[in-house]
Amino acid sequence: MNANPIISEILSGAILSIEMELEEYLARSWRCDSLRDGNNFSVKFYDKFGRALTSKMLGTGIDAILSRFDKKEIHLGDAFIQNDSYLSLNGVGDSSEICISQPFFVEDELISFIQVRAQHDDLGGISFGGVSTLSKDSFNEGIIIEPIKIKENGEIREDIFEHIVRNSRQPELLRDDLATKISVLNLGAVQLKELVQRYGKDELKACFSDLLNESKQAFQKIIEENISDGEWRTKRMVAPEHFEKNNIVHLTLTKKNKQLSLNFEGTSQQSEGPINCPLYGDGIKFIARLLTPFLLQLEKDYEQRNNIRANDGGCKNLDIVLPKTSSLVTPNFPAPTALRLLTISSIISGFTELLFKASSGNTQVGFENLNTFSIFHRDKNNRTSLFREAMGSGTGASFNRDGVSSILPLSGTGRISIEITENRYPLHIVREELIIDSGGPGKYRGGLGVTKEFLLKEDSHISLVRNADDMCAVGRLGGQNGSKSEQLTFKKGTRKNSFPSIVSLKKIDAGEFVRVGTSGGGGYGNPLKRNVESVKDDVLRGFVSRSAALKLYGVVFKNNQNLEVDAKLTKKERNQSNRKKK
Amino acid sequence: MAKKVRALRIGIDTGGTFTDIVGVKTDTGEIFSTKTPTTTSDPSLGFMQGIEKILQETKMQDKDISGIFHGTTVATNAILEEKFDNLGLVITSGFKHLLEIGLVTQKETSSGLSNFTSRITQKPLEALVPSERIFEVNERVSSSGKILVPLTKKEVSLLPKLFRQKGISAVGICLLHSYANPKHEKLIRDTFGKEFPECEISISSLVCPEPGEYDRAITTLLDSFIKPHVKNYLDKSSDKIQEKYKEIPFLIMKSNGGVAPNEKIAKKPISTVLSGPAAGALSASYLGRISGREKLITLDGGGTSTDIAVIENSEAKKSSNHSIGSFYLKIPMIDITTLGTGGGSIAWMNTEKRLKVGPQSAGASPGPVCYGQGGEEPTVTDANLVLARSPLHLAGGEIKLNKALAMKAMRNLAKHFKIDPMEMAAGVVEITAWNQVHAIRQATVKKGLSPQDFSLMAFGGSGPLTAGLVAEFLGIENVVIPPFAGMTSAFGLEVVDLMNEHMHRYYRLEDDLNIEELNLIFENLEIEARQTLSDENIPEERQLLKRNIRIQYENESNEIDIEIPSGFVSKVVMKEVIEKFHFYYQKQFNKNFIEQRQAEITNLNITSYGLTQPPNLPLIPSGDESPEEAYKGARLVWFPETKGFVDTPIYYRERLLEGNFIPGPAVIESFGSTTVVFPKQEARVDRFGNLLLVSKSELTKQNKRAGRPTGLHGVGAA
Repeated sequence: MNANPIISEILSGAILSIEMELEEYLARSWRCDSLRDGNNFSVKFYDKFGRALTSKMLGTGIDAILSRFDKKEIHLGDAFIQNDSYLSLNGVGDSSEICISQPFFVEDELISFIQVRAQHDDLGGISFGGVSTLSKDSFNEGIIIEPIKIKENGEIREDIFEHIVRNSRQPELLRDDLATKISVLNLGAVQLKELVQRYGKDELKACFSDLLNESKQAFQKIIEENISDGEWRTKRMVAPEHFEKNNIVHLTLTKKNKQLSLNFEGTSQQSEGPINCPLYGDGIKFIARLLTPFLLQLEKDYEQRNNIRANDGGCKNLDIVLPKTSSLVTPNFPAPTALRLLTISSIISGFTELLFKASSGNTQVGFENLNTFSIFHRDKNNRTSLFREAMGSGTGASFNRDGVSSILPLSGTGRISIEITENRYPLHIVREELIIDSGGPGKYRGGLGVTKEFLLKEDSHISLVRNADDMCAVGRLGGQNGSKSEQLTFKKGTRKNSFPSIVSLKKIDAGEFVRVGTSGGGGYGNPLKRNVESVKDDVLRGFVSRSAALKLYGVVFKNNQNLEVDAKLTKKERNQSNRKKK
Repeated sequence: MAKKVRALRIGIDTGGTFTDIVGVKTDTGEIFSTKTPTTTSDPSLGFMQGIEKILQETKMQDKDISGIFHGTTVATNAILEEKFDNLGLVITSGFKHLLEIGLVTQKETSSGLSNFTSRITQKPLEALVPSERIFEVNERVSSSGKILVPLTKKEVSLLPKLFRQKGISAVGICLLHSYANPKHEKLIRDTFGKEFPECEISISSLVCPEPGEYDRAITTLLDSFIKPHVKNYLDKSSDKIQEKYKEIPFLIMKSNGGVAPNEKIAKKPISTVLSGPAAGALSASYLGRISGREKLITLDGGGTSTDIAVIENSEAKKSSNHSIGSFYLKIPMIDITTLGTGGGSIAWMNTEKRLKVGPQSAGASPGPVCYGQGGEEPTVTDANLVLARSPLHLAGGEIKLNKALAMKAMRNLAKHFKIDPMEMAAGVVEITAWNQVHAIRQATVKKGLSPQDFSLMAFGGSGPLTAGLVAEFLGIENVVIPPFAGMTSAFGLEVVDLMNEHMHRYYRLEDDLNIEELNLIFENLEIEARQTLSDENIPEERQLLKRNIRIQYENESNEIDIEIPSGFVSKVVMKEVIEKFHFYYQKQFNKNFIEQRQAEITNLNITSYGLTQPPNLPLIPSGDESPEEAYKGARLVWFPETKGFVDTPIYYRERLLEGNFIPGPAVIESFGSTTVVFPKQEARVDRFGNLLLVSKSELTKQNKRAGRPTGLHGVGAA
């Protein structure tokens, strides 16, 4: 089906605009801390088959709704709520990451769905925020909501609504935020209706299929031009120091008959810890949506990357094959799942490595991007605050460019302003800097990690998840590894105590300092071949220390203030180092 | 009352291609307007030519000029050039990489990718100032303004030398929480003043005293960067004025909706970015007020961009967040949403074989294909010409357009999609209108407003060409095309008041209010404000002061300004103020925290106005329903609704009379702007010369040709 090019462009622009508009509306309506300051939410548009039409990565699919409800049971005025990670992954968070979806009809015909995903503060479980290393099964992680109607015939089902709210430690905030989600979906439906009235539902459907086709072809072309037939394997340990046994994700990427396929065969048994990541059902789509956009790195032209949508059409080029028996990615209910972000991060990390190999080194090298933590405080009047931040790591370098520092992490929150933090939370921020020498040395340097140091003004509880201590972003082709992430606590003048890589609600006293540091990206190529001027700039900017410049990059400075490079000595130093290496 | 003297107030709006000049005779209210090409290399030349040209038009003399009011793009252009080599930053120690780390929060606008992926796949952004030109100072102020770590004079005294050595000549100073206590920033500024006086300095507590260190640092840096550019330009222009016309007030339009004398502007030039669009919004709110329309959305369509503003209660909405190029600015100004498409936007096919309009623009050179200067890709302007909706010339005949070239380009594009070139042209215009619709929706919904509750006021060269469609798509009932639609921004300079803001950071929870203290602060602010107005020679009867209290919920930072009456502020008044705050908060954020969180006062401020004598807009003569007098001829114009070309009457805008009625389809041409009345719409002319577009009434649909001159129209007659 081919839509009229003009109408197709109008409608595809309108779909993006509806998503953006609803997000704007939500951004100024949220009440709970995670959403208001953390911005961890998204709006996503699906067709009636549950195919995502835009490039948003997170959000559960529609499949669980479609398989649970007969077509005859889905009506105008309905809205579905769900957070059941076993039926379809809602996102990377815990049980309080809740999706609400609304079907859209034209003359009794189901046309599409709009969905809001949002990470709320709490929906029960053994600890505030639902995430805990202690959780032994799904029942410890807050209430489970299979897709059910939260709204029917245009009316909110109050009994169910109140039942859900009753299970939260922050019922007032959750009540308001859920109501906001439900009402915003209507706003989208009204606009869609106006478009259909003007251009007709057939054009809308044709536009959907255009969008999916375009994305499919664009990614097909990228794969065809950059990856030759073959098979590549890797594995990743998930949270090695935790939980009873080794948890390993095995990944095999195959390119055959124009098709990419990612096989999880060999992945270890399901875990006792909450790192299980059920990928069956809609989960396959979830992981494909997460991984497919990385292929865009293979398109050389940045302008062109902007034109390509990574929707479910594009995702069709990447088959996901799961183990046939139970495993970390195919666990049996009720194995706990709230920390599956660790497993998802490992999958991403492994996939980017495979992509690098498969494309003969044309993507970014190693990049570990997992660092999320929260500081929870309850005051005398029982008022709580939850400071949740996911800080960004450095990306890997590539064959023609340095990595980028402090990139936005997967779970979306990103940096929260120092001044806003100090205005709203009982925290004082001592410093926030890029970490010197954290980017993996190389001809092209990895991006830098970032460190933030908090002074707690009140007694608080900290929870965190980060990459394991022996995991760092790997450098390639002579490039070296990026630095590891670190999180520690200390009192002024005392020894520093490192946290393990997973911590749940550890009490920290007022007056103590907490330092959180993210990892650097891997380097690409021999650092001795790095442009001398770039090394000098790095030293001037506090990205690389003078000693690292000498030791790793072989750059010698004349001993003066202006940091002048001694060209002669540098040449000598670099030659010597090169020989030593050989 | 001031004596009636024969005088001429001149408004000059320098745009990218044209400089628009409006002159109003203060005794009769007669309005004159003209255009002259903008002289990009030295805009003061075009500026002076403009004054000459309007004097000729009005047949008045040098000594008649009562004041020159100016909207300038010098600041904006300097920023967009992005040559920031001489720029440095002073920051609180511990935060030297703020500009690198802050990039992560910079929003992606172009792609629909989630932020996570876009950072991995998109071209990396660069920090405005690299870290080697950033210096840390050891100091700390708390969020409530308490000094935690004092800044030593000794440390400050080292800075000027360091910057001088590095060859830095413009410095921004942004210390944490300086909005709550500017003492440290001022100390650094004063030291530079003594030790390195030729260095340009901006301090963040003066530029934008609001929380949010990254945006504040960027805004402060840009302010200091543009200082020499703006100062040079204004000095040059003001010298030329002095030389030629002696002592004439020379006032510059600020983006907050007021004017200030040029010497004052040079101290905080960032206040002039979007000076032209702000004048447009001001103009619209004035024209709306006199004709009884208090709620307007403006659509100011130019060559490369389209500006949108929202007006409620005849006042343009303000905001503190704006983007210019790739930068986000944080200063309170009229909330202008700028859309990167305009008449010059190019229609093209991307590699996904999808039709796109913009964001590339043909600009002023080569310009649209029909300018015949070498452009080959069809633009929105070409599409309108091909459809015969716009005339064969621009600016009243000064620029001739080549329709054949435009047609050829459109045919080439249409071939790729295998559709009819006329359909393609109409589609390009329709996509443009939808882009405008999306931008308007986002500008209104963000503020909790619904576009249907507003009238659409369209002006600028390209606004009135699509306004009819935009209104239809948005469900807006009324479209207003003001008189001199091509000059609306320049006209804004005729109605703008002198405006200053005086504020005092003052943190108090509602329970801890001290009424005496509060009144004392207001009294002092008022004395300061009156003094400033008197210094600017504003007589007392033209002085107006407005008080505002800025309030937020405790531990939040969504601040809202509540206006309060002058005079003693009693406890009762304060209670009302806080109630209003809850109400407005609810309106804007869909929620409030009444009885859950304390309201906290953060700021007391006074906006002082030196009121201008607005022109007495002459009413236009009234005429019959039939616009016979204004009939220019007819030509075949293409509309999708009529499934092809249809014989369409063309009218001269300037000759229309009050009461004239024009059913669509029709085209109304004026100097600098063309209005399309679409087939499903009809237009009426009001006594102020506004053209009002609405959907066709049932009555009109029945008498198909009411109001239209009789007789057959020769094809291509106009």
